[in-house]
Amino acid sequence: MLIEVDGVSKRFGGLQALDNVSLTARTGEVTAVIGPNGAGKSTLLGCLSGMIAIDAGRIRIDGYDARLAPLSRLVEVGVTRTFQNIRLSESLTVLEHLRLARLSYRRTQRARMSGPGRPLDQILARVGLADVARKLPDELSYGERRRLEIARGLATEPLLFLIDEPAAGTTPAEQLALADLIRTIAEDGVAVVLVEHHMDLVARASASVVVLNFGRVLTSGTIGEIRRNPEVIAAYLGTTADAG
Amino acid sequence: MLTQQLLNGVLSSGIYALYAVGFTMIFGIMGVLNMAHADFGTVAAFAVIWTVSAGLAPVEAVLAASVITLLVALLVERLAMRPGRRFKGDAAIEMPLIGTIGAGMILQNAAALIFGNKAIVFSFNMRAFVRVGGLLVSKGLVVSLIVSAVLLALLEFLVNRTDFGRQIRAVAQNRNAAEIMGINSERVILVTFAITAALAGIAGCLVGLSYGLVSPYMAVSYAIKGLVAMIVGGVGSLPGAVLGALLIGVVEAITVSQFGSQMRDVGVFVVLMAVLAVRPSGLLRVAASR
Repeated sequence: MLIEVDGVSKRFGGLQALDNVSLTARTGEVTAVIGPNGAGKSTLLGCLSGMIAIDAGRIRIDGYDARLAPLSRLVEVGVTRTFQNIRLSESLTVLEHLRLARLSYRRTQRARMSGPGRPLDQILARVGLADVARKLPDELSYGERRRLEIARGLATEPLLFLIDEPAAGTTPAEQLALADLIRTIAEDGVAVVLVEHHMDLVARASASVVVLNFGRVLTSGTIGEIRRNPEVIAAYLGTTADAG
Repeated sequence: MLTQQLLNGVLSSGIYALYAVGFTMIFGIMGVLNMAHADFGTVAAFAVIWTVSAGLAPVEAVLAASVITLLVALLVERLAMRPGRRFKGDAAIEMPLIGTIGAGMILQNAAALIFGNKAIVFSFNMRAFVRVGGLLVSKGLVVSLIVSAVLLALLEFLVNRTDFGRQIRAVAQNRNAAEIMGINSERVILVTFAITAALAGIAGCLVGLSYGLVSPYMAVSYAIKGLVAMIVGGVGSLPGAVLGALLIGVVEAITVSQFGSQMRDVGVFVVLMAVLAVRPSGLLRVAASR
């Protein structure tokens, strides 16, 4: 799968949230989007997931123009996402989240072509939630709730996975494990777009990094190139990344 | 005497519970009150009277009345509730509230216009009483209680044991979370709305069956009891709505026996105030949030 974001702009009232943003994401790779708070990272994920209409530019997935669509339609086209502020169904167990997501996937044309998907217990084991499968979200730790969002997405057998700040509120050890998890998700044949503040996680998970600042692409490249870029250091790394 | 009143209260609580679970399910999944909910009971009861008087056989008449009730309910949802759901402004909750109050008034007055504004005889009735151990038992209310109990058990099974029920709970909790799992929240809301309308419709017909009469304005009284039962039990909790309905039924019967029928609703509201003062979240709210 090839995701092409070409000259995308989005304005909310007086705020230019995205300004002529272009980037490319590919199957098998983690494309990280970093930048200070308010840089437009989550808006970009909103546009990529069809939740936010763009004002200008194009978003193409495998050559087809992406359109504004209800979130529930994303399963059909193989797109899933997590949210910056965790969104779970508090009265459903961990396993029930995955079961409902899988039920939707099995009703898609993709499932008829590609098969029923990998077993849910494998997904749970992979994200480290096998022991809490029967628990409700409010019985989970913060890191486990974050991983449940990822597991829920995996149950839809995604081709494009948009992951929004998965490490927020997690411990350093959990961040390293998350980085490995996200990298292996991509290696299994998924295009991953990762929005994240924690540079160690980004460095461990991502092949390429796009830096946003005030809604514009400041620069892009490998993590090494980004870390050496004086503009990035001035705008971002020298300040907020120290905390991460 | 007290035992007789307690029995009457328990028997009448089945109808109240059917109304109350509808109120609580709609509030749970939409986050707004459907003030026309009890009017669907009136629509169903009068639709049965109309279809029977038109010469349809009982089964055909009930089926036709069901279709009429469902169509009216979906029209109310479309015109009075959906605009509020799609409106992102500050009045997104007030719009359906006022809209459904208006829809309820239209339905009541339409029924009065067509059938007259007095109570009329329902097409079927079971008003006979039987004596059991010194107590008078209304056959109609016994049937109502049994029908209600079966429907509520089926509803509990649907919500807690089926995938559609899990979808209802997912949409009620967080629509984004539900939709990212591929759940079409609009479809789930519509089907849930139709289920609650069907429950209200059955409740309205059980009123006619049990008491022999239905009135164009009877929904007002049942809406009050359904709403109070919902709040007393804990908004969003199905078992809470049933418990609230049981409490309301018993308190109402005792109030009538001690102070006369004109005080009927006073006892109901005293219970509401007492529960709100002691446990504002309702009797079973905590359990329901699980």
